[in-house]
Amino acid sequence: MTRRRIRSVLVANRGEIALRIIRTCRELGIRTIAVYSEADRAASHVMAADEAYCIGPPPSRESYLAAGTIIGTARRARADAIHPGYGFLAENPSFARMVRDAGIVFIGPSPESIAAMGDKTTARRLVQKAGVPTVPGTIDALRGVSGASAFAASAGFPVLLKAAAGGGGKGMRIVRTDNELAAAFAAAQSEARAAFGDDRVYVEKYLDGPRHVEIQVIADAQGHTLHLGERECTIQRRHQKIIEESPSVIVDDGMREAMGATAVKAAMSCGYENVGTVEFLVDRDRCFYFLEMNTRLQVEHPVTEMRTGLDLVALQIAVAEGTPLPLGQDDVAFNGHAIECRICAEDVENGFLPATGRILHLRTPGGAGIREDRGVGEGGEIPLYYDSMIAKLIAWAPGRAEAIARMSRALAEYELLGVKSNVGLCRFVIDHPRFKAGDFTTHFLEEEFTPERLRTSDARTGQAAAAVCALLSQEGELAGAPGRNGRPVLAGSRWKKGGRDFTET
Amino acid sequence: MEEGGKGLYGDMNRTYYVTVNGKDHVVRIDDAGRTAVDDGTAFNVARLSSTEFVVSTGDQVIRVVAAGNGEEFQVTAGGRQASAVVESERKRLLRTYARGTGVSGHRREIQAPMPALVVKIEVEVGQEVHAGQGLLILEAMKMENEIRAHQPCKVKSIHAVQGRAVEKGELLLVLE
Repeated sequence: MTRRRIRSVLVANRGEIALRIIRTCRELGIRTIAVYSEADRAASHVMAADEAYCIGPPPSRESYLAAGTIIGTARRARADAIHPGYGFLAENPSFARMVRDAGIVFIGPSPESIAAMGDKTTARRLVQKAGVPTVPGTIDALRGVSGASAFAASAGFPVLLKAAAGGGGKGMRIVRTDNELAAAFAAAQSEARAAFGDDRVYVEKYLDGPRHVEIQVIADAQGHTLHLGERECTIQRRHQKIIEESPSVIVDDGMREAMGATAVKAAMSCGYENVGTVEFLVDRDRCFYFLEMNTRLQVEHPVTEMRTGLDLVALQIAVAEGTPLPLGQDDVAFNGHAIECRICAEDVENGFLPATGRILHLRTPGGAGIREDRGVGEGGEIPLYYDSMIAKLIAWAPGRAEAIARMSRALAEYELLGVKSNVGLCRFVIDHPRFKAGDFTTHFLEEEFTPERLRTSDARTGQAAAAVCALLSQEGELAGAPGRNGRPVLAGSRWKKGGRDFTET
Repeated sequence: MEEGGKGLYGDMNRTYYVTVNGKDHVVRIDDAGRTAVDDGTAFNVARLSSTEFVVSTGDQVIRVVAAGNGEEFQVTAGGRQASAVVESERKRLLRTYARGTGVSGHRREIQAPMPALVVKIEVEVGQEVHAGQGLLILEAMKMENEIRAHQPCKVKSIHAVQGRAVEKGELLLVLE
């Protein structure tokens, strides 16, 4: 194995993850190179990097997804390595290959591993061969309803009929009794034919109210593969994780060891290198099944960092340099409890529509055990082109109850105005008795949450808010009243013009 | 606030109806900018920055941050987020007044709902107007408000003069 010292890193991403990677590079004395779209000229990651290069117009496909431009920029800036972050090009095997072919280190797994895990069928076959449990089912298409019936008889109801060519819930049917099976099979077939022009249907066991638990793994070029414990990511909305924590209330030491060993097997099945995450569904009997492997640094990696004291980005860089992992499985120490909330720009009361705009006021929590990763500050824009995540708020405490109390306190301190956010929703979940009791499934939000639940405030606080808003409203009227100096000063001021000139540079 | 007391628009612009997270409040602001909310409880508001306020009432001190466009606000108070909608007395009057205009079949006097400037008269004597048609435009607080007919009727007489100010309650036109 050749070792190659990484002295400069181009970060092919934006927002909080770009900033988070740049921070570790700074600490390691590595020169940082940012890339940005025209919408991100004044973004935090651009300011934080040693150098920054514009790579195109705001739409992602013309900038952060422009593989050729990014590699060209890396060459021009003489970058030793490229860190893809998450999203954008992070799980694109041809990008990883292009980077490698350009003689630049890709800080992540090989293009072959990315490709193998990116294809669901290939991944399922690979891990099954390695002895990893997958959701029981027939991988191949069924010839008729009798096959489904035979499977259900052995695996038990409920079962899930799925279109082989499927996606987006089309051709999918949950079947709870044998009587429903024939009709559901026909319906799934015709729906699949209509949607994909392919009526092949297969069946798998349907996990009712599952939990989503994932295992962080890390592997070096020498083939040492470790797991860094689990993260519970069950609180989701439409498959988007909102809150993650570690440890999971349903995972004890024995189960952690079993899941960890299984995740390591899954990673080794494709010769995995660098950090990755193996996702599992866990049923009511705490049986776990492989769902997929994410071949990149995960959004929720700080939860693991807080609990293990490790810097995953530093480890990624070391492994990419060809350095053996500095620790073995027994050296991985788990300490305390960590929870992360994803603060997103969205209009929770209006169907969770993404919100855009300028952050007019931002005051973030501090105090013991609080970490906040964020890539935009007060005065910054949330553009419509990219992900709606504004920040990740992470709380650590010795135990789960203390971590929940700390997160609740921190969310109460979080002040964000100008862009609608889900801070209130996060607090709703964190303060919920069922969350505190650890009693939840992926259906938690559907079962418990309605926007009206956010409309709580004590009488005096509401009156205080009313007084302030009335004064602001009056101020607005007076600024525009006849006989005064007309419009508010800001509207025609040179500040704004300056800002415009700046963006057009 | 206008210099020297009540100002052009009298007391009307001093009362505000504020809905915070769906709950209605009435806020009165006096000449010194002091606020009395709902039952008259005094709330003293000190401004820290363009968006930050410290509100005290009795022994209670509440931090409020707010930003908005004059009518709709995003607020954080006491660690909770809220949305607020503000309507001034003047706007409320206009809204309720506009709803009440245009009774067909008999004589109806249209009066100025507030002191205002008559910006434009959109009808002539004897003209037939349909429901929803604009009659005249009043301006107050730099905002134009159109007074409309709510039912088909005929303009009997016009008393307002374009470009002239009118007092609250002054006769503008008569419909029948």
